[in-house]
Amino acid sequence: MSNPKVNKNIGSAHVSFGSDISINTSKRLPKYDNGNSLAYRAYDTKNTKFIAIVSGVEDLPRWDAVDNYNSLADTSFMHLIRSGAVRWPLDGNQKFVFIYSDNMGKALLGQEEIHDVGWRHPDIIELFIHPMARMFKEMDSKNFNHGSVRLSNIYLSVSGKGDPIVLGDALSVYPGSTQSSVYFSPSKALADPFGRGGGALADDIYAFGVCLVLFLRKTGHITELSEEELINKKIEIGSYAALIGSGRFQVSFLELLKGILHDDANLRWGVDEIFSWLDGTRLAPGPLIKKKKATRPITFMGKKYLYAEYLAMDIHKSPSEAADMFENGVLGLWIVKSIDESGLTERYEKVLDRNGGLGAPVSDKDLLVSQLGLVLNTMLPVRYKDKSFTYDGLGAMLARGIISEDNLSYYSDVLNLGLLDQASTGFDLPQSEVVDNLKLYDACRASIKRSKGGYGIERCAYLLCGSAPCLSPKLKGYFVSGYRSCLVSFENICKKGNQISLFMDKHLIAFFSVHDLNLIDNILYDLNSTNKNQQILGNLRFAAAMQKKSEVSSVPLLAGIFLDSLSDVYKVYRNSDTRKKIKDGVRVAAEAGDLVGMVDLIGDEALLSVDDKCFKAASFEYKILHNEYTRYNKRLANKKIYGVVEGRNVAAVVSWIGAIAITMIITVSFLSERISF
Amino acid sequence: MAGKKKKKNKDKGGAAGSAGGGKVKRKGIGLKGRFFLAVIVVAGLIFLPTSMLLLVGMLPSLVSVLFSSKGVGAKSSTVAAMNLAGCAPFVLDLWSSGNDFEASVDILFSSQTIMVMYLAAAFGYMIDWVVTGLVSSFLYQKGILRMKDIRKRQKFIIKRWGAGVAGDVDTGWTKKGK
Repeated sequence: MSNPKVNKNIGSAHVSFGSDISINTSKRLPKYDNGNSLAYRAYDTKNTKFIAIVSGVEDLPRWDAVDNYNSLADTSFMHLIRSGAVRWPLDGNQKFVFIYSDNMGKALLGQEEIHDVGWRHPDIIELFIHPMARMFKEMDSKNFNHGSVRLSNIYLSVSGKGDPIVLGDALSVYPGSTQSSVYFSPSKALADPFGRGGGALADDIYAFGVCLVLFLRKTGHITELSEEELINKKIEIGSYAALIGSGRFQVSFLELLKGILHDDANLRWGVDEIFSWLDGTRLAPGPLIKKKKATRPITFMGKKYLYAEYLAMDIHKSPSEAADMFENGVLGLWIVKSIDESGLTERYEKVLDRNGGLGAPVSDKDLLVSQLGLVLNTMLPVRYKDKSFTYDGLGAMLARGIISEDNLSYYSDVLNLGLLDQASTGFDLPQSEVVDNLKLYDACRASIKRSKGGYGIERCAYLLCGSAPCLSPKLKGYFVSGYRSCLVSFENICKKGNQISLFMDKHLIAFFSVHDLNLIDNILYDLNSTNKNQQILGNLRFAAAMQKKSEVSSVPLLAGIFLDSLSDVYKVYRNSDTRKKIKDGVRVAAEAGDLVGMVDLIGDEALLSVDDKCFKAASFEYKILHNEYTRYNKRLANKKIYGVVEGRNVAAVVSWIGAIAITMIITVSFLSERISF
Repeated sequence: MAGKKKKKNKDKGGAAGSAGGGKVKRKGIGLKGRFFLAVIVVAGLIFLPTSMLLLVGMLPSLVSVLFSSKGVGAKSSTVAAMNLAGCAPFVLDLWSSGNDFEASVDILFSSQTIMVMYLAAAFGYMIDWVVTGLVSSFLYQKGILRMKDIRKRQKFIIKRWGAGVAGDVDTGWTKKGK
């Protein structure tokens, strides 16, 4: 999790980051920029220089990988000092800032040309290849991928030319999003920058291979070819051949380059093979991917194709012609008869079934060309309408789509049409990974169907893109990546006024539900309730849980907002005295900004249970009294006869007592007259 | 079964006594009653002078028993007690003067005797009227006070627990300020 600090701007040119670091916004360090994430000079109180790389929310900085990055022990990584969200005065929005120590010299690639560092063959191995291999090993053990391995992001050590290189920033942007397509194998090079997926170490090793080729050629350009032409060439003859071209390299390097520039990530050299090569072991690079040539060409857009892989590259350029070719069976005949490859035929037949069989009219031509592209070349990314992405690349694009307020139905369509399933199944992945991916897509589709808080397309963004911060419209201008930043952001929003206590929207619920289901799980019922009071209570409970988790001691403004809207919530306590007592306690807690205290008072289960029992007893007593009242009312209605029976009984008793007394007196008196002593 | 029957009868008697409504079935004289009646008749024949005196002297009580409405046996009992007390001195007088038929007739034909015995019975009627009136008034006022207490307690319960505490019971009286 990020560690945002309390920020106060020191004048217009300085932004304080924590209590001891200040970023000079007027002092740019362009050589450390990573795409749109710009670098600035930063200082601490002892005037030590740092590099601050500032990322906007749209760059999808890797806040979730910070802990992982910090665990990397190799000194050839840029040393991360601190990271967190900062209010950026230049646009008034919060940015995510990474503070690195400044121990780097020139980048290996300058404006256009490679810096002449004067390294000979052993120096290249010792100062460039070996440190990179060490870093790859470290990344492999810590399950981290860099995503920004390129010559312009590899620096000479500041101490001198005898020291190893330093690998630049990896965290300020989404992996691979700022890389030129040159640094990717064809399977990712054709995808949009944010559609390349989360990346893997194999991608970093490939990018390192490209870096090495450029470094050895001492040029910033591979050839005079454009990026698209180079990708086509990579597909036609393989990356190794396309990149090496007619260049002259030492034979030992060629072996390494052949291994690490393999187009198939499964056959590409890994860390162990690189170290084996460094140790002098002779290894045979994996076999080149063989393409099956058709016995006769197929004509598409006036061009003849003999390979399915080449046709896959161009088929999206004319959906109507592709649909005609598919409907009249020309494409099927070409695949089955001319290429005759079992895997390709099987994939084609599946698509044929999905589209209603041979001769059935095609209703969605864009979908068809997308499906056919994946049939003809499984290693290529999905191309649907105007976007292109890998099987794991939709998440970041969706997150960007939410940020730029695009129509999100495109992403729902992609998920519902099963294009990711087709791409993931066709791509040469381990079976377990395919199963995990399919489960994930199923979860996304299930989420799209549900309209309750925490579901919908919003949830898909967080499921598919782990580094997406919370993209709630309520948090526009804030970078929220955890409990602390969320709570502090809402406190700041409350300062501006007009904040309501129902702050948990679909995005917030989905974000925290994906990142920490345990915390939000038992509050989901309240948050999704149709009862407004229950919703308010749910929001308060979640805010309190965040306060407890983030250890933010006081949020008085947010607590005040809740206090104002809790008047009906107290009704859960039915005893007016208890309610008043709770109300007073909650007011005191709110004034102290103690959300946890507020929730503890409102949701005191023991007290609620006692209150409920007492309420039932009171209700019972009320009914007994009501019955008694009704009885009295009925009997007292006839005043003449009321109590007469009881009165007569009393009269009888009185009369008998009197009669006995009189009789005894008479008897005694009679006897005393008769008997004289 | 017997217990149930008893309780049922008791309830019916209470309702009739309180509200004056409801018919009580008149039972015939039971075996015990018949036995006691026989003993009294036999004793009356044996002690005929005393029986004659009491028969005349207790006439008001007899009238009260025979003509009073059902379920008000207490009133006859009140009258009978005082009537009996009024007869007591003359019975003693009879017994002291030989307890024969002639003495009994002498006593009965004395105007004072009849007046004393019947005035005593009248006094019994007066006791019944006065005491019954006092007790019923007292009980009525007590009932009124209890009803007020019930309303007060119900208001308190509603104030403390809210109108929901009454459930489906009508709480309209709280608004009327009853």
